[in-house]
Amino acid sequence: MKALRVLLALGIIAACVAAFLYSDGSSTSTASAGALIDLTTSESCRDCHSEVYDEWKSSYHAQSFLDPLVRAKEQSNNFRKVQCIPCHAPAPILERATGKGARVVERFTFREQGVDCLACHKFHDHVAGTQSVSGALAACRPIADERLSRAELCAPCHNQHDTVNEWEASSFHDAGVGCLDCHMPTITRTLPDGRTKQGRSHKFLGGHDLGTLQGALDLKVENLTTDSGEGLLKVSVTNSGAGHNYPADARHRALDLVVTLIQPDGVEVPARDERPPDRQRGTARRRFRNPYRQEASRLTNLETWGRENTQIPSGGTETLEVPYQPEQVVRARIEVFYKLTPYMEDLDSTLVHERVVEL
Amino acid sequence: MLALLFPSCDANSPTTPPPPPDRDALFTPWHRAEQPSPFPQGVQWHWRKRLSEPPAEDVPPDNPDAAAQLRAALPTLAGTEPLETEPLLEEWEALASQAPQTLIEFLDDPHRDVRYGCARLLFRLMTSGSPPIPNQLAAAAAKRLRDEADEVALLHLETLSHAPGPWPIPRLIKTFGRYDNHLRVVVRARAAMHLVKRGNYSGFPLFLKILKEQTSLQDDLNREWESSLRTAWWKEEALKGVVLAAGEDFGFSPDAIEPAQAASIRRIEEWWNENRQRLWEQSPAMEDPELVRRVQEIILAMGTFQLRNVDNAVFLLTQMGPPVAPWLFEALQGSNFQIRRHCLEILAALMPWATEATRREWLQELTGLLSEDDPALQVRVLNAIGASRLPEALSHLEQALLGGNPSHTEVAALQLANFSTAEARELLTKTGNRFAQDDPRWLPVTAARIRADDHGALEDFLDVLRGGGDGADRASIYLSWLVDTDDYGQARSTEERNREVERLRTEILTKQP
Repeated sequence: MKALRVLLALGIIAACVAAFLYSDGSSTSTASAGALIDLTTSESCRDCHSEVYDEWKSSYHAQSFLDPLVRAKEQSNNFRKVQCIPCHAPAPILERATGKGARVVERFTFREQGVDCLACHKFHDHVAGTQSVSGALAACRPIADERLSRAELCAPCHNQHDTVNEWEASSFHDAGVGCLDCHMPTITRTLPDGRTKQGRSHKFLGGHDLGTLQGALDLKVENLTTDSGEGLLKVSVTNSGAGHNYPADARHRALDLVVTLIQPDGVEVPARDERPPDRQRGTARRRFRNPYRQEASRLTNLETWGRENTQIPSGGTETLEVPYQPEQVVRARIEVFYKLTPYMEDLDSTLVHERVVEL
Repeated sequence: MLALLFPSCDANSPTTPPPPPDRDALFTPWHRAEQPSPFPQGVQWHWRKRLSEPPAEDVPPDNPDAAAQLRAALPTLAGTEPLETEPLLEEWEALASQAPQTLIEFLDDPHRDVRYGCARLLFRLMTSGSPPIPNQLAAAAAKRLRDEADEVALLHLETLSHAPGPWPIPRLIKTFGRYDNHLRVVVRARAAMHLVKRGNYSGFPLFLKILKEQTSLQDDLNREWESSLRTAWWKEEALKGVVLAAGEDFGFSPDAIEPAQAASIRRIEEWWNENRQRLWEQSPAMEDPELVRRVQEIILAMGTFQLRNVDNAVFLLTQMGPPVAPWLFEALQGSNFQIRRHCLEILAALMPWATEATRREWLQELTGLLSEDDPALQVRVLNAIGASRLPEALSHLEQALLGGNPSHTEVAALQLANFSTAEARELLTKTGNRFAQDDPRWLPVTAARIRADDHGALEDFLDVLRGGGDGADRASIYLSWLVDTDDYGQARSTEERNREVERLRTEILTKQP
């Protein structure tokens, strides 16, 4: 009996040392290796992976259940629309099924943590990781699982609106550029002890990040003269950096290209087509978006926006041509707005590109 | 050595639960292995079209002469007054009966007058006593219930209502489906009335909603007309449905002053609450093979990927009422997790519509499922058991409330709050007092107590909301148990948050049980 106790004590000491060696050393681990941690919430992961935790905490995955835009009455109404819950607070995805045909299941507890660590990493009594580590060395018993790096893990939520299908049809897929390459790029983390360690970013940058939005969309402006002597501003936007449509995924998103012509006295030329007063800003405007079924009747500008999906496919270019009278116009301002909802005004949205052209 | 100490920790042989038992052997051949599935994965089903497909029937070719005459005649309806064309339609009925498929072609004519005339002709054929291809005629009408002309759509609804057999039930339900726009209120009201005639009472809440309408039923749309006349028409239509179900109008009149209307509506609601279980109990059993085939297909749609399919399927099955339960229990014997999960959700939703005896039967079957291996299904079984509101469910809920599984605690707490009995309330209070505030079970049990009108811990709960931070985030999730809407998530400053908490406090304290 005594021998067993000694053996047990030695084992625990060895496990603790090993756990320290395995952890990124950025914090004092309270999870003793061997004594397996309780995989209940993301907090379980924090002790050993504090930097990754902090990245995740700052991400919109962590805010997916609390984001005011999502909880707004006209959206999920604080998730009284229960069909929104599975993707905004998923139970561990790997435990069910992955891939384009698999649907996620909602979690019943700790929903405030949104798409938490366990949603992607928990697999029954252990976690899925990039490498296998003995349970004696890491309290969460990571086992290498290649699905973590594949689109099939993202698809159950992100293909509801065809994003994975769009990616599969893009050149990014053919070139082997996957979801992680853009949304979870490899980064180098500096640990408190000065060591550096490479890993995947857990900020999941996308539509909420200006850099990501700018990097994926090129703006080109050409000032031409037509045969009749009229000026013609040709403004093109190219989805050069997204391996899926732009804007993508959730149907709430919209991209507005606005061209405003300015007269010598500084006054903006009125819009050339009729729109409701509160939306009348630019001289010309074009929207790229996959509209809701009943959106047209809400926006009251059906003629302008239409019902068809106008998202820009990966690699695609869309052009807005704005004719003008050279003697009446001296300048043009070109703006590209990314909107989290189609009803958002320009001033509340993200200005992705802005350019002023002297004519 | 470590492997000896922690034998189950071998990284290469994780402990994974055994695969679920193969239940397909118990299930219908149709469901086995889900092949061939009528729902390609990832493809959205066009519900209206699919629900409008007619049952198989022999369709003889049109008489060529009659078809030629009809082709020449029907376009002349353009630009003519409906009253003037009535004798013509009477004359052409014989032609149409020999060339019904030609008539159906003209139902999509771009000219509104032609479509209206053809819709009237179709209705004449359908009600003639010997319609040539009744299911095809009904299906032609079913496919065009969204005709942009109101008068055409309404006429098609009447034609569909004369379809032989109960196969149009899901299509009629779809007219007031969750995702339909709200422009066709009368179409929806009349569809609900035709459902009443077929023993389906899912449209009764729609009648009540229309009768209560004082502002705008389609408040998410831009109204461009003067509302009072149109709402009066809506109410007349809804009242017809009420009279059909109840045999009386409860003194309701769209012309009455608002308090008088409200008093009548209260009486209608009381009658509905007292009688709905009895009415549903009298609904015909779902035995018609064509309807059963459709129900089984809709059940299968719950296992597909696209949420729109799933939402539509759950909605349709729920609205079919308690008669659909045997098919849900059959599907529960299958192995598709998603289908089983949604079947349990629907059964929970159907509980309030079922009589005590029926609920007791269902409860017995559900209790057997408590031993489910799948934890996510266990939760839904528990939820459905709680929704039965039967005294024998209380012991299961109490056990779940006090057990260590937080998912079970949450579901049990909510269901106990819905029980509306002193015993359930006492159980919640007793348990709530037992949990310390830092116990993860405290929040759901406290929210459930408040929902059950035990406000003993209301201030503590509101304090958590006022405090902000992670605790408040977590507490705010349970606001959906307490009020119909909230702006807590929109509050950006402490001041806004406190103001919203005060508003919530007032709403909770004044909320009618």
